[in-house]
Amino acid sequence: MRDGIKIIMFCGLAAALAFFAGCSAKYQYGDAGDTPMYSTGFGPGELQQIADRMTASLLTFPPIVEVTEQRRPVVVVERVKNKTTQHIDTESITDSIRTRLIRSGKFRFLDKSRDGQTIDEIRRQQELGLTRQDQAAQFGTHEAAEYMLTSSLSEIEQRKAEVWQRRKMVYYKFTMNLMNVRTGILEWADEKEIVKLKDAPRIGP
Amino acid sequence: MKRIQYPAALVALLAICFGCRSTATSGIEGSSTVMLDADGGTQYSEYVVVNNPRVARGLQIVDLDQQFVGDILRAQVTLASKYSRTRNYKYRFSWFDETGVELDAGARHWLPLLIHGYETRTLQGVAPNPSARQFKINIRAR
Repeated sequence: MRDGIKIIMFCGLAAALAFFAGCSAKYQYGDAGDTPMYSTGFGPGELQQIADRMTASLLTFPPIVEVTEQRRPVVVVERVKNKTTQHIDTESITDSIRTRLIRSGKFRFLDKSRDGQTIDEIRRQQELGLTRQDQAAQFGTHEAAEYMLTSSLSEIEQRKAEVWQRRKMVYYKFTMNLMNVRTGILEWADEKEIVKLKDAPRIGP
Repeated sequence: MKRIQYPAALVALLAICFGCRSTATSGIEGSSTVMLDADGGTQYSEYVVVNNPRVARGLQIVDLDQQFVGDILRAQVTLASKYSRTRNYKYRFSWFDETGVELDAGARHWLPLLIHGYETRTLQGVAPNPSARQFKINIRAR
């Protein structure tokens, strides 16, 4: 009889230990290339899918392949027009696309967001008297952008309530265009559609 | 007393298993290499590795294809579902130069793959730069 009580106590202790070990907070590094999905909001997984699609599409579009075989055109990126109801750091989408295109060795980019700092640096080189004037950067020497990348992100949300479940669907569409600045012609365009679904019990969060 | 011991042992076992629960992240892997001859011809070498028979039972790599678009390598992988229901997987392309060095190592992402029952689906990947000569695709359950 005593042995039996001991076994029960041991099993209970083991179960309690395992339960609390499983419930305790854990901190560890995750894989940035494999982010989990916790909501229907726009997340890093969607950013990666969009950047992957847009880069692959642009690099393999025949007229663009023809142009980039001969030279590396200069491109400027415009801010993404965010038509969703969410606050999204859309600059990180275009940053990812720009980084991949630069690393492909096919395009060169101008960074308009650094214009203020560039002007300050050129003024510093020219006016403070610290820099050798034969090496100082001059105004009016930047290359002009040949192409402009414009993009927009839109969202459609639908909900459905059933007897036991609440369903939610969020549809995202990212559209990107490459416009020839001199002619105004759209040389390339593509879009990426993403659908995120949520099935939740009727009662609960 | 035995009536109490067995359920208690079962509870302990379940709790331990629940605490240590982890899912297998292995899957199947396909690779294709382009070898350029001195006379301008091309040869291809392909292989498929099954690291997780459970994934391989539901999904088959039917074909590994590649072509150059300009000087950029584009890969196309044809998959066939062997299940009647819709399944979710993840896939990732990796790229290597002619010496076998991975390009942009660690920068590739797992992308979602939803495949319907008995569907045949092609996936495409584009190399990050013109030096790619080999690609590898990893597919795993979600």
